[in-house]
Amino acid sequence: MLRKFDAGLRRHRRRVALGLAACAFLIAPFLGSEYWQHLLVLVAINILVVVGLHLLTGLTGQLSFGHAAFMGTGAYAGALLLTKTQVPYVVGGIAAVGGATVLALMVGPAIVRLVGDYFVIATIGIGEVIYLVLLNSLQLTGGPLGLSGVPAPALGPLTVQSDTQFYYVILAIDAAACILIWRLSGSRVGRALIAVRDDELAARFLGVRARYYKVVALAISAGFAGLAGLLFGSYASYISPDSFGYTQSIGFAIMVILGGLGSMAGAVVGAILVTLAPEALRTLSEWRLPLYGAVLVFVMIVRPQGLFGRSVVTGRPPLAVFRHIRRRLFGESPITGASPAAAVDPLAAAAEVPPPNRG
Amino acid sequence: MVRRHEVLGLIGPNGAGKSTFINAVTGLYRITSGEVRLEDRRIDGLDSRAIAVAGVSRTFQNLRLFRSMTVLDNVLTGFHAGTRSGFIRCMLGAPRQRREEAFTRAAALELLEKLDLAEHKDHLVGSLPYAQQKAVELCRALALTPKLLLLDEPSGGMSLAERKHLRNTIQALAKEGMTVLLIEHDVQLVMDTCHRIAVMDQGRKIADGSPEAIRNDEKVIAAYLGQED
Repeated sequence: MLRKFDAGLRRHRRRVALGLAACAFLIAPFLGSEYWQHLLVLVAINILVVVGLHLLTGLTGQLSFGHAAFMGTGAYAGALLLTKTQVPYVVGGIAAVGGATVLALMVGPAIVRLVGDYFVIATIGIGEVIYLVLLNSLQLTGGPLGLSGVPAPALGPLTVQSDTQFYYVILAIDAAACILIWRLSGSRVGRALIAVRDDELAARFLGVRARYYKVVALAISAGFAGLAGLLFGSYASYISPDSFGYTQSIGFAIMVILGGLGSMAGAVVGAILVTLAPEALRTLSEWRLPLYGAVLVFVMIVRPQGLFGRSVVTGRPPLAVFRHIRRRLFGESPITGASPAAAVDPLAAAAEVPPPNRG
Repeated sequence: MVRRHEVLGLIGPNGAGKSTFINAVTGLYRITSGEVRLEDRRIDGLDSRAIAVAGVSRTFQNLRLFRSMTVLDNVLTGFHAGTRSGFIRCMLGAPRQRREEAFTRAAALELLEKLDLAEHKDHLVGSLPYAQQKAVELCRALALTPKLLLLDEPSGGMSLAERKHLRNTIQALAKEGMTVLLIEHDVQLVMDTCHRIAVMDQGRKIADGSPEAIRNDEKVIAAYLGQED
Protein backbone atom coordinates (compact mmCIF):
# COMPACT_ATOMS: atom_id res chain seq x y z
CA MET A 1 0.00 0.00 0.00
CA LEU A 2 1.53 3.25 -1.05
CA ARG A 3 1.50 5.94 1.55
CA LYS A 4 1.30 9.33 0.08
CA PHE A 5 1.08 12.90 1.15
CA ASP A 6 -1.79 14.91 -0.07
CA ALA A 7 0.36 17.98 0.10
CA GLY A 8 -2.37 20.53 -0.31
CA LEU A 9 -4.68 19.13 2.31
CA ARG A 10 -1.83 18.62 4.68
CA ARG A 11 -0.69 22.18 4.28
CA HIS A 12 -4.17 23.46 4.89
CA ARG A 13 -4.63 21.35 7.98
CA ARG A 14 -1.28 22.43 9.26
CA ARG A 15 -2.13 26.10 8.82
CA VAL A 16 -5.36 25.66 10.71
CA ALA A 17 -3.64 23.80 13.52
CA LEU A 18 -0.92 26.44 13.67
CA GLY A 19 -3.47 29.22 13.82
CA LEU A 20 -5.35 27.53 16.62
CA ALA A 21 -2.15 26.88 18.53
CA ALA A 22 -1.04 30.49 18.17
CA CYS A 23 -4.37 31.69 19.51
CA ALA A 24 -4.17 29.28 22.38
CA PHE A 25 -0.70 30.44 23.31
CA LEU A 26 -1.68 34.08 23.09
CA ILE A 27 -4.80 33.94 25.22
CA ALA A 28 -3.45 31.39 27.70
CA PRO A 29 -2.53 33.89 30.41
CA PHE A 30 -6.13 35.05 30.59
CA LEU A 31 -7.34 31.62 31.49
CA GLY A 32 -6.14 31.39 35.02
CA SER A 33 -4.84 32.92 38.16
CA GLU A 34 -1.37 33.80 39.35
CA TYR A 35 -0.27 30.24 39.77
CA TRP A 36 -1.24 29.52 36.20
CA GLN A 37 0.90 32.45 35.01
CA HIS A 38 3.81 30.89 36.84
CA LEU A 39 3.25 27.57 35.10
CA LEU A 40 3.02 29.26 31.73
CA VAL A 41 6.39 30.89 32.19
CA LEU A 42 7.92 27.52 33.01
CA VAL A 43 6.30 26.01 29.96
CA ALA A 44 7.64 28.77 27.76
CA ILE A 45 11.15 28.32 29.12
CA ASN A 46 11.04 24.58 28.59
CA ILE A 47 9.77 25.02 25.05
CA LEU A 48 12.90 26.98 24.24
CA VAL A 49 15.11 24.17 25.51
CA VAL A 50 13.07 21.56 23.78
CA VAL A 51 13.11 23.21 20.36
CA GLY A 52 16.89 23.15 20.55
CA LEU A 53 16.86 19.57 21.72
CA HIS A 54 14.61 18.70 18.81
CA LEU A 55 17.34 19.89 16.50
CA LEU A 56 19.87 17.65 18.18
CA THR A 57 17.80 14.61 18.94
CA GLY A 58 14.82 14.70 16.65
CA LEU A 59 16.55 15.79 13.50
CA THR A 60 20.10 14.64 13.97
CA GLY A 61 19.34 11.58 16.03
CA GLN A 62 21.73 12.29 18.89
CA LEU A 63 19.94 11.55 22.12
CA SER A 64 21.08 13.80 24.95
CA PHE A 65 20.51 13.02 28.60
CA GLY A 66 22.62 15.91 29.76
CA HIS A 67 21.07 19.00 28.30
CA ALA A 68 20.57 20.70 31.63
CA ALA A 69 24.33 21.12 31.67
CA PHE A 70 24.09 23.56 28.79
CA MET A 71 21.18 25.28 30.43
CA GLY A 72 23.14 25.65 33.65
CA THR A 73 26.28 26.82 31.93
CA GLY A 74 24.38 29.49 30.06
CA ALA A 75 22.45 30.50 33.14
CA TYR A 76 25.58 31.00 35.19
CA ALA A 77 27.51 32.65 32.40
CA GLY A 78 24.80 35.20 31.83
CA ALA A 79 23.88 35.64 35.48
CA LEU A 80 27.45 36.15 36.62
CA LEU A 81 27.99 38.78 33.99
CA LEU A 82 24.76 40.56 34.80
CA THR A 83 25.20 40.52 38.56
CA LYS A 84 28.85 41.48 38.60
CA THR A 85 28.72 44.16 35.93
CA GLN A 86 26.31 46.73 34.62
CA VAL A 87 26.05 45.50 31.09
CA PRO A 88 22.66 45.59 29.39
CA TYR A 89 20.58 42.47 29.59
CA VAL A 90 21.06 41.67 25.94
CA VAL A 91 24.78 41.33 26.52
CA GLY A 92 24.01 38.95 29.34
CA GLY A 93 21.87 37.00 26.96
CA ILE A 94 24.67 36.80 24.46
CA ALA A 95 27.00 35.61 27.22
CA ALA A 96 24.51 32.92 28.16
CA VAL A 97 24.22 31.65 24.61
CA GLY A 98 27.95 32.00 24.16
CA GLY A 99 28.84 30.14 27.34
CA ALA A 100 26.68 27.18 26.50
CA THR A 101 27.84 27.13 22.91
CA VAL A 102 31.49 27.21 23.92
CA LEU A 103 30.94 24.24 26.19
CA ALA A 104 29.29 22.36 23.35
CA LEU A 105 32.12 23.19 20.99
CA MET A 106 34.63 22.02 23.54
CA VAL A 107 33.11 18.62 24.14
CA GLY A 108 31.37 18.21 20.82
CA PRO A 109 34.17 17.10 18.52
CA ALA A 110 35.09 14.37 20.97
CA ILE A 111 31.70 13.01 21.82
CA VAL A 112 30.13 13.02 18.37
CA ARG A 113 32.51 10.27 17.42
CA LEU A 114 30.64 8.07 19.85
CA VAL A 115 27.93 5.85 18.52
CA GLY A 116 24.39 5.58 19.85
CA ASP A 117 24.35 4.49 23.46
CA TYR A 118 27.85 5.71 24.12
CA PHE A 119 26.96 9.21 23.04
CA VAL A 120 24.08 9.19 25.51
CA ILE A 121 26.38 8.06 28.28
CA ALA A 122 28.77 10.85 27.40
CA THR A 123 26.01 13.41 27.70
CA ILE A 124 25.12 12.03 31.10
CA GLY A 125 28.75 12.45 32.02
CA ILE A 126 28.82 16.05 30.86
CA GLY A 127 25.70 16.73 32.87
CA GLU A 128 27.29 15.39 36.00
CA VAL A 129 30.57 17.19 35.48
CA ILE A 130 28.93 20.55 34.95
CA TYR A 131 26.69 20.05 37.95
CA LEU A 132 29.66 19.25 40.14
CA VAL A 133 31.68 22.15 38.80
CA LEU A 134 28.84 24.55 39.50
CA LEU A 135 28.33 23.05 42.94
CA ASN A 136 31.94 23.20 44.00
CA SER A 137 33.06 26.53 42.59
CA LEU A 138 32.22 28.47 45.74
CA GLN A 139 34.30 31.45 44.77
CA LEU A 140 32.86 31.80 41.33
CA THR A 141 29.32 30.60 41.46
CA GLY A 142 28.48 30.59 45.13
CA GLY A 143 28.29 26.83 45.04
CA PRO A 144 25.30 25.31 46.76
CA LEU A 145 24.27 28.72 48.01
CA GLY A 146 23.42 29.68 44.51
CA LEU A 147 23.48 33.04 42.84
CA SER A 148 20.82 35.57 43.60
CA GLY A 149 19.90 38.96 42.28
CA VAL A 150 19.68 37.87 38.66
CA PRO A 151 18.00 40.83 36.97
CA ALA A 152 14.89 40.67 34.89
CA PRO A 153 15.14 40.96 31.12
CA ALA A 154 15.28 44.55 29.97
CA LEU A 155 15.59 46.31 26.67
CA GLY A 156 16.39 49.99 27.01
CA PRO A 157 13.84 51.55 29.32
CA LEU A 158 11.54 48.55 29.25
CA THR A 159 11.84 45.91 31.93
CA VAL A 160 9.87 42.77 32.38
CA GLN A 161 7.89 43.15 35.54
CA SER A 162 5.25 40.52 35.85
CA ASP A 163 4.89 36.83 35.22
CA THR A 164 2.59 37.54 32.32
CA GLN A 165 5.11 39.85 30.71
CA PHE A 166 7.78 37.24 31.22
CA TYR A 167 5.55 34.74 29.47
CA TYR A 168 4.98 36.88 26.41
CA VAL A 169 8.64 37.82 26.08
CA ILE A 170 9.75 34.21 26.26
CA LEU A 171 6.92 33.19 23.95
CA ALA A 172 8.24 35.62 21.37
CA ILE A 173 11.69 34.11 21.70
CA ASP A 174 10.14 30.65 21.38
CA ALA A 175 8.36 31.67 18.22
CA ALA A 176 11.59 32.96 16.72
CA ALA A 177 13.37 29.75 17.70
CA CYS A 178 10.64 27.63 16.15
CA ILE A 179 10.77 29.55 12.92
CA LEU A 180 14.52 29.17 12.66
CA ILE A 181 14.49 25.45 13.37
CA TRP A 182 11.51 24.86 11.11
CA ARG A 183 13.21 26.62 8.23
CA LEU A 184 16.31 24.63 8.91
CA SER A 185 14.55 21.30 8.91
CA GLY A 186 13.09 21.80 5.46
CA SER A 187 16.36 22.90 3.95
CA ARG A 188 19.49 21.32 2.61
CA VAL A 189 21.09 21.27 6.06
CA GLY A 190 17.98 19.79 7.62
CA ARG A 191 17.99 17.01 5.08
CA ALA A 192 21.63 16.40 5.77
CA LEU A 193 20.96 16.12 9.50
CA ILE A 194 18.15 13.67 8.96
CA ALA A 195 20.31 11.73 6.55
CA VAL A 196 22.96 11.49 9.24
CA ARG A 197 20.31 10.22 11.61
CA ASP A 198 18.89 7.65 9.22
CA ASP A 199 22.11 6.32 7.78
CA GLU A 200 25.29 8.16 8.54
CA LEU A 201 27.36 6.03 6.24
CA ALA A 202 25.17 6.69 3.24
CA ALA A 203 25.08 10.37 4.13
CA ARG A 204 28.86 10.54 4.11
CA PHE A 205 28.91 8.88 0.74
CA LEU A 206 26.86 11.78 -0.52
CA GLY A 207 29.38 14.27 0.73
CA VAL A 208 27.76 15.19 4.03
CA ARG A 209 30.24 16.29 6.67
CA ALA A 210 28.57 14.25 9.35
CA ARG A 211 30.83 15.08 12.23
CA TYR A 212 30.73 18.81 11.55
CA TYR A 213 26.95 18.84 11.33
CA LYS A 214 26.61 16.88 14.53
CA VAL A 215 28.83 19.32 16.40
CA VAL A 216 27.02 22.36 15.05
CA ALA A 217 23.65 20.83 15.90
CA LEU A 218 24.93 20.23 19.40
CA ALA A 219 26.20 23.80 19.62
CA ILE A 220 22.96 25.37 18.44
CA SER A 221 20.85 23.25 20.75
CA ALA A 222 23.19 24.15 23.58
CA GLY A 223 22.82 27.84 22.75
CA PHE A 224 19.05 27.63 22.99
CA ALA A 225 19.32 25.83 26.31
CA GLY A 226 21.79 28.40 27.60
CA LEU A 227 19.48 31.29 26.83
CA ALA A 228 16.61 29.42 28.42
CA GLY A 229 18.78 28.95 31.49
CA LEU A 230 19.39 32.65 31.85
CA LEU A 231 15.71 33.44 31.34
CA PHE A 232 14.91 30.91 34.02
CA GLY A 233 17.43 32.58 36.29
CA SER A 234 15.89 35.97 35.65
CA TYR A 235 12.46 34.63 36.34
CA ALA A 236 13.42 33.05 39.63
CA SER A 237 15.97 35.85 40.19
CA TYR A 238 18.05 33.12 41.76
CA ILE A 239 19.84 30.08 40.39
CA SER A 240 21.49 27.14 42.01
CA PRO A 241 23.15 24.03 40.63
CA ASP A 242 20.20 21.92 41.69
CA SER A 243 18.09 23.45 38.96
CA PHE A 244 20.38 22.05 36.33
CA GLY A 245 20.90 18.45 37.23
CA TYR A 246 20.17 15.00 35.96
CA THR A 247 16.46 15.18 36.75
CA GLN A 248 16.03 18.21 34.57
CA SER A 249 18.02 16.63 31.75
CA ILE A 250 15.89 13.53 31.81
CA GLY A 251 12.82 15.72 31.89
CA PHE A 252 13.84 17.42 28.66
CA ALA A 253 14.63 14.11 27.01
CA ILE A 254 11.22 12.81 27.99
CA MET A 255 9.53 15.88 26.57
CA VAL A 256 11.05 15.20 23.20
CA ILE A 257 10.56 11.45 23.24
CA LEU A 258 7.02 11.58 24.53
CA GLY A 259 6.07 14.21 22.02
CA GLY A 260 7.62 12.21 19.24
CA LEU A 261 11.16 12.20 18.00
CA GLY A 262 11.46 14.05 14.76
CA SER A 263 8.48 16.28 15.26
CA MET A 264 8.88 19.84 16.44
CA ALA A 265 5.21 20.15 17.28
CA GLY A 266 5.58 16.95 19.23
CA ALA A 267 8.49 18.38 21.17
CA VAL A 268 6.45 21.46 22.06
CA VAL A 269 3.47 19.36 23.13
CA GLY A 270 5.79 17.14 25.13
CA ALA A 271 7.19 20.20 26.88
CA ILE A 272 3.73 21.38 27.77
CA LEU A 273 2.64 18.00 29.07
CA VAL A 274 5.73 17.21 31.07
CA THR A 275 5.85 20.69 32.58
CA LEU A 276 2.21 20.82 33.57
CA ALA A 277 1.66 17.23 34.62
CA PRO A 278 3.80 17.22 37.75
CA GLU A 279 2.02 20.33 38.90
CA ALA A 280 -1.29 18.66 38.34
CA LEU A 281 -0.05 15.65 40.23
CA ARG A 282 1.40 17.68 43.10
CA THR A 283 1.27 14.85 45.56
CA LEU A 284 3.64 12.76 43.47
CA SER A 285 6.44 15.30 43.38
CA GLU A 286 8.93 13.05 45.18
CA TRP A 287 8.23 10.40 42.63
CA ARG A 288 9.21 12.57 39.75
CA LEU A 289 12.33 10.73 38.74
CA PRO A 290 10.85 7.23 39.00
CA LEU A 291 7.79 8.50 37.20
CA TYR A 292 9.93 9.85 34.39
CA GLY A 293 11.58 6.48 34.12
CA ALA A 294 8.27 4.70 34.03
CA VAL A 295 6.91 7.02 31.35
CA LEU A 296 10.03 6.52 29.27
CA VAL A 297 9.79 2.77 29.47
CA PHE A 298 6.07 2.88 28.77
CA VAL A 299 6.52 5.03 25.69
CA MET A 300 9.30 2.83 24.38
CA ILE A 301 7.21 -0.29 24.67
CA VAL A 302 3.77 0.89 23.71
CA ARG A 303 4.35 3.72 21.30
CA PRO A 304 7.99 4.39 20.53
CA GLN A 305 7.20 7.06 18.02
CA GLY A 306 5.64 9.21 20.71
CA LEU A 307 2.48 11.19 20.35
CA PHE A 308 3.22 12.82 17.07
CA GLY A 309 5.10 10.03 15.45
CA ARG A 310 8.08 10.71 13.35
CA SER A 311 7.65 13.31 10.75
CA VAL A 312 9.35 13.15 7.45
CA VAL A 313 12.04 15.52 6.46
CA THR A 314 9.82 18.48 5.72
CA GLY A 315 9.05 18.65 9.40
CA ARG A 316 5.36 18.20 8.94
CA PRO A 317 3.99 16.24 11.87
CA PRO A 318 1.63 13.54 10.69
CA LEU A 319 -0.48 14.05 13.82
CA ALA A 320 -0.37 10.33 14.23
CA VAL A 321 -2.40 10.36 17.39
CA PHE A 322 -5.34 12.08 15.72
CA ARG A 323 -5.21 9.78 12.78
CA HIS A 324 -5.25 6.90 15.17
CA ILE A 325 -8.27 8.22 17.01
CA ARG A 326 -10.08 8.94 13.78
CA ARG A 327 -9.39 5.49 12.48
CA ARG A 328 -10.76 3.97 15.63
CA LEU A 329 -13.83 6.15 15.70
CA PHE A 330 -14.80 6.17 12.08
CA GLY A 331 -12.99 3.23 10.59
CA GLU A 332 -12.03 5.43 7.67
CA SER A 333 -8.76 5.09 5.87
CA PRO A 334 -7.37 8.54 6.27
CA ILE A 335 -4.74 10.17 4.16
CA THR A 336 -1.73 8.83 5.86
CA GLY A 337 1.73 10.11 6.17
CA ALA A 338 4.72 8.66 7.91
CA SER A 339 4.39 5.02 8.80
CA PRO A 340 4.14 4.46 12.55
CA ALA A 341 5.96 1.18 12.07
CA ALA A 342 9.01 3.02 10.85
CA ALA A 343 9.60 4.49 14.26
CA VAL A 344 13.05 5.44 15.31
CA ASP A 345 14.78 3.63 18.13
CA PRO A 346 16.58 6.46 19.86
CA LEU A 347 19.14 4.17 21.38
CA ALA A 348 19.93 2.37 18.17
CA ALA A 349 23.54 2.41 17.10
CA ALA A 350 24.49 4.45 14.09
CA ALA A 351 25.24 2.86 10.74
CA GLU A 352 28.08 0.41 10.69
CA VAL A 353 30.42 -0.51 7.91
CA PRO A 354 28.71 -3.20 5.82
CA PRO A 355 30.16 -6.63 6.53
CA PRO A 356 32.23 -8.06 3.74
CA ASN A 357 29.79 -9.82 1.48
CA ARG A 358 30.66 -13.11 -0.04
CA GLY A 359 31.49 -12.26 -3.61
CA MET B 1 40.96 0.12 -14.59
CA VAL B 2 37.80 1.73 -15.85
CA ARG B 3 38.16 3.84 -18.93
CA ARG B 4 36.17 7.00 -19.21
CA HIS B 5 32.70 6.59 -20.70
CA GLU B 6 32.87 2.85 -20.51
CA VAL B 7 30.72 0.46 -18.60
CA LEU B 8 32.98 -2.08 -16.95
CA GLY B 9 31.46 -5.15 -15.46
CA LEU B 10 32.97 -6.99 -12.53
CA ILE B 11 31.84 -10.53 -12.03
CA GLY B 12 33.04 -13.54 -10.18
CA PRO B 13 31.82 -16.44 -8.11
CA ASN B 14 30.67 -15.96 -4.54
CA GLY B 15 33.44 -14.99 -2.22
CA ALA B 16 35.62 -13.74 -5.03
CA GLY B 17 36.10 -10.42 -3.35
CA LYS B 18 33.96 -8.14 -5.48
CA SER B 19 32.28 -6.32 -2.63
CA THR B 20 35.52 -6.12 -0.71
CA PHE B 21 37.05 -4.53 -3.75
CA ILE B 22 34.38 -1.88 -4.08
CA ASN B 23 34.48 -1.13 -0.38
CA ALA B 24 38.23 -0.71 -0.53
CA VAL B 25 37.99 1.60 -3.53
CA THR B 26 35.41 3.78 -1.85
CA GLY B 27 37.35 4.16 1.35
CA LEU B 28 35.35 1.91 3.63
CA TYR B 29 38.22 -0.48 4.07
CA ARG B 30 41.78 0.59 4.39
CA ILE B 31 44.00 -0.92 1.76
CA THR B 32 47.30 -2.39 2.76
CA SER B 33 49.14 -2.12 -0.51
CA GLY B 34 48.77 -0.62 -3.92
CA GLU B 35 46.90 2.51 -4.76
CA VAL B 36 43.62 3.76 -6.13
CA ARG B 37 43.53 6.59 -8.58
CA LEU B 38 40.80 8.72 -10.00
CA GLU B 39 41.97 10.61 -13.08
CA ASP B 40 45.57 10.83 -11.93
CA ARG B 41 44.69 11.65 -8.40
CA ARG B 42 45.27 9.21 -5.60
CA ILE B 43 42.14 8.58 -3.61
CA ASP B 44 43.14 5.59 -1.54
CA GLY B 45 43.27 6.45 2.13
CA LEU B 46 40.69 9.18 1.70
CA ASP B 47 37.55 8.81 3.72
CA SER B 48 34.25 8.10 2.03
CA ARG B 49 33.11 11.69 2.14
CA ALA B 50 36.18 12.96 0.37
CA ILE B 51 35.86 10.28 -2.25
CA ALA B 52 32.28 11.24 -2.89
CA VAL B 53 33.29 14.84 -3.27
CA ALA B 54 36.01 13.76 -5.66
CA GLY B 55 33.34 12.36 -7.94
CA VAL B 56 32.79 8.74 -7.05
CA SER B 57 29.21 7.74 -6.37
CA ARG B 58 27.84 4.36 -5.46
CA THR B 59 24.80 2.30 -4.73
CA PHE B 60 24.72 -0.36 -2.07
CA GLN B 61 23.99 -4.02 -2.31
CA ASN B 62 21.70 -3.89 0.69
CA LEU B 63 20.15 -0.52 -0.04
CA ARG B 64 21.00 2.39 2.13
CA LEU B 65 18.14 4.76 1.66
CA PHE B 66 17.04 7.32 4.19
CA ARG B 67 13.95 5.59 5.38
CA SER B 68 12.22 8.43 7.11
CA MET B 69 12.31 10.50 3.94
CA THR B 70 10.26 10.55 0.80
CA VAL B 71 11.61 9.61 -2.60
CA LEU B 72 12.06 13.23 -3.53
CA ASP B 73 13.88 14.05 -0.33
CA ASN B 74 16.25 11.13 -0.76
CA VAL B 75 17.18 12.41 -4.18
CA LEU B 76 17.41 15.99 -2.92
CA THR B 77 19.95 14.78 -0.39
CA GLY B 78 21.99 13.52 -3.31
CA PHE B 79 22.46 17.09 -4.36
CA HIS B 80 24.02 18.00 -1.05
CA ALA B 81 27.56 17.92 -2.34
CA GLY B 82 26.77 20.33 -5.12
CA THR B 83 25.27 23.00 -2.90
CA ARG B 84 26.67 25.20 -0.22
CA SER B 85 24.10 26.86 2.00
CA GLY B 86 25.02 26.38 5.61
CA PHE B 87 23.18 26.54 8.90
CA ILE B 88 22.78 30.29 9.05
CA ARG B 89 21.58 30.73 5.50
CA CYS B 90 19.13 27.90 5.86
CA MET B 91 17.73 29.14 9.13
CA LEU B 92 17.28 32.65 7.87
CA GLY B 93 15.96 31.75 4.46
CA ALA B 94 18.67 33.73 2.70
CA PRO B 95 18.38 34.42 -1.04
CA ARG B 96 21.23 32.12 -1.93
CA GLN B 97 19.60 29.30 -0.04
CA ARG B 98 16.30 29.90 -1.78
CA ARG B 99 17.95 29.90 -5.17
CA GLU B 100 19.88 26.74 -4.44
CA GLU B 101 16.77 25.03 -3.15
CA ALA B 102 14.75 25.93 -6.23
CA PHE B 103 17.53 24.76 -8.50
CA THR B 104 18.02 21.54 -6.57
CA ARG B 105 14.33 20.73 -6.63
CA ALA B 106 14.10 21.26 -10.35
CA ALA B 107 17.13 19.10 -10.97
CA ALA B 108 15.83 16.38 -8.67
CA LEU B 109 12.47 16.30 -10.42
CA GLU B 110 14.22 16.01 -13.75
CA LEU B 111 16.21 13.06 -12.53
CA LEU B 112 13.12 11.40 -11.13
CA GLU B 113 11.37 11.85 -14.45
CA LYS B 114 14.27 10.20 -16.22
CA LEU B 115 14.03 7.14 -14.04
CA ASP B 116 10.24 6.97 -14.12
CA LEU B 117 9.94 7.75 -10.46
CA ALA B 118 8.23 11.12 -10.63
CA GLU B 119 4.81 9.83 -9.67
CA HIS B 120 6.23 8.51 -6.41
CA LYS B 121 8.11 11.59 -5.42
CA ASP B 122 6.12 12.23 -2.26
CA HIS B 123 5.90 8.64 -1.15
CA LEU B 124 8.02 7.33 1.66
CA VAL B 125 10.79 5.25 0.20
CA GLY B 126 9.97 2.34 2.44
CA SER B 127 6.57 2.00 0.85
CA LEU B 128 7.89 1.36 -2.63
CA PRO B 129 8.55 -2.09 -4.09
CA TYR B 130 12.13 -3.24 -3.69
CA ALA B 131 13.14 -2.73 -7.30
CA GLN B 132 11.88 0.83 -7.23
CA GLN B 133 13.75 1.49 -4.03
CA LYS B 134 16.87 0.44 -5.87
CA ALA B 135 15.95 2.89 -8.59
CA VAL B 136 15.64 5.63 -6.01
CA GLU B 137 19.08 4.84 -4.69
CA LEU B 138 20.42 4.97 -8.22
CA CYS B 139 18.71 8.28 -8.73
CA ARG B 140 20.26 9.62 -5.57
CA ALA B 141 23.68 8.44 -6.67
CA LEU B 142 23.25 10.13 -10.03
CA ALA B 143 22.45 13.41 -8.30
CA LEU B 144 26.13 13.71 -7.55
CA THR B 145 26.84 13.87 -11.30
CA PRO B 146 29.66 11.48 -10.60
CA LYS B 147 32.75 10.91 -12.65
CA LEU B 148 32.50 7.27 -11.73
CA LEU B 149 29.36 5.41 -10.79
CA LEU B 150 29.73 2.18 -8.86
CA LEU B 151 26.75 -0.13 -8.88
CA ASP B 152 26.94 -2.86 -6.26
CA GLU B 153 24.80 -5.81 -7.34
CA PRO B 154 21.86 -3.70 -8.44
CA SER B 155 19.86 -6.61 -9.75
CA GLY B 156 19.67 -8.41 -6.43
CA GLY B 157 16.14 -9.47 -5.66
CA MET B 158 14.73 -8.36 -8.98
CA SER B 159 12.33 -10.19 -11.20
CA LEU B 160 12.99 -10.79 -14.88
CA ALA B 161 10.96 -7.79 -15.95
CA GLU B 162 12.73 -5.61 -13.44
CA ARG B 163 16.11 -6.79 -14.66
CA LYS B 164 15.13 -5.86 -18.19
CA HIS B 165 14.23 -2.40 -16.97
CA LEU B 166 17.53 -2.18 -15.15
CA ARG B 167 19.39 -3.23 -18.27
CA ASN B 168 17.67 -0.49 -20.24
CA THR B 169 18.53 2.04 -17.58
CA ILE B 170 22.19 1.13 -17.58
CA GLN B 171 22.28 1.17 -21.36
CA ALA B 172 20.71 4.62 -21.33
CA LEU B 173 23.34 5.79 -18.88
CA ALA B 174 26.05 4.34 -21.08
CA LYS B 175 24.67 6.17 -24.06
CA GLU B 176 24.98 9.41 -22.15
CA GLY B 177 28.62 8.67 -21.57
CA MET B 178 28.47 7.79 -17.88
CA THR B 179 31.46 5.87 -16.59
CA VAL B 180 30.15 2.86 -14.71
CA LEU B 181 31.63 0.00 -12.76
CA LEU B 182 28.97 -2.64 -12.49
CA ILE B 183 29.42 -5.38 -9.93
CA GLU B 184 27.01 -8.16 -10.59
CA HIS B 185 26.01 -11.73 -10.07
CA ASP B 186 23.71 -11.75 -13.05
CA VAL B 187 26.14 -12.63 -15.82
CA GLN B 188 23.57 -12.12 -18.55
CA LEU B 189 22.92 -8.58 -17.41
CA VAL B 190 26.62 -7.88 -17.48
CA MET B 191 26.98 -9.35 -20.94
CA ASP B 192 24.18 -7.15 -22.21
CA THR B 193 25.29 -3.86 -20.79
CA CYS B 194 29.05 -3.79 -20.44
CA HIS B 195 31.68 -2.76 -22.91
CA ARG B 196 34.27 -4.74 -21.05
CA ILE B 197 34.22 -7.28 -18.29
CA ALA B 198 36.69 -8.12 -15.56
CA VAL B 199 36.45 -11.36 -13.66
CA MET B 200 37.62 -11.98 -10.12
CA ASP B 201 38.18 -15.18 -8.29
CA GLN B 202 39.65 -15.72 -4.87
CA GLY B 203 40.61 -12.10 -4.54
CA ARG B 204 42.44 -11.75 -7.81
CA LYS B 205 41.57 -10.65 -11.30
CA ILE B 206 41.67 -13.66 -13.55
CA ALA B 207 40.41 -12.23 -16.81
CA ASP B 208 39.66 -8.97 -18.52
CA GLY B 209 38.18 -8.38 -21.94
CA SER B 210 35.14 -8.01 -24.10
CA PRO B 211 31.99 -9.96 -23.27
CA GLU B 212 32.72 -12.32 -26.12
CA ALA B 213 36.22 -13.03 -24.92
CA ILE B 214 35.10 -13.59 -21.35
CA ARG B 215 32.34 -15.91 -22.38
CA ASN B 216 34.87 -18.23 -23.92
CA ASP B 217 37.70 -17.79 -21.46
CA GLU B 218 38.82 -21.07 -19.95
CA LYS B 219 39.84 -19.65 -16.60
CA VAL B 220 36.47 -17.97 -16.20
CA ILE B 221 34.58 -21.11 -17.03
CA ALA B 222 36.70 -23.06 -14.61
CA ALA B 223 36.08 -20.56 -11.86
CA TYR B 224 32.37 -20.78 -12.39
CA LEU B 225 32.22 -24.54 -12.71
CA GLY B 226 29.89 -25.90 -10.13
CA GLN B 227 28.33 -22.46 -9.55
CA GLU B 228 24.67 -22.09 -10.36
CA ASP B 229 23.61 -18.93 -12.04
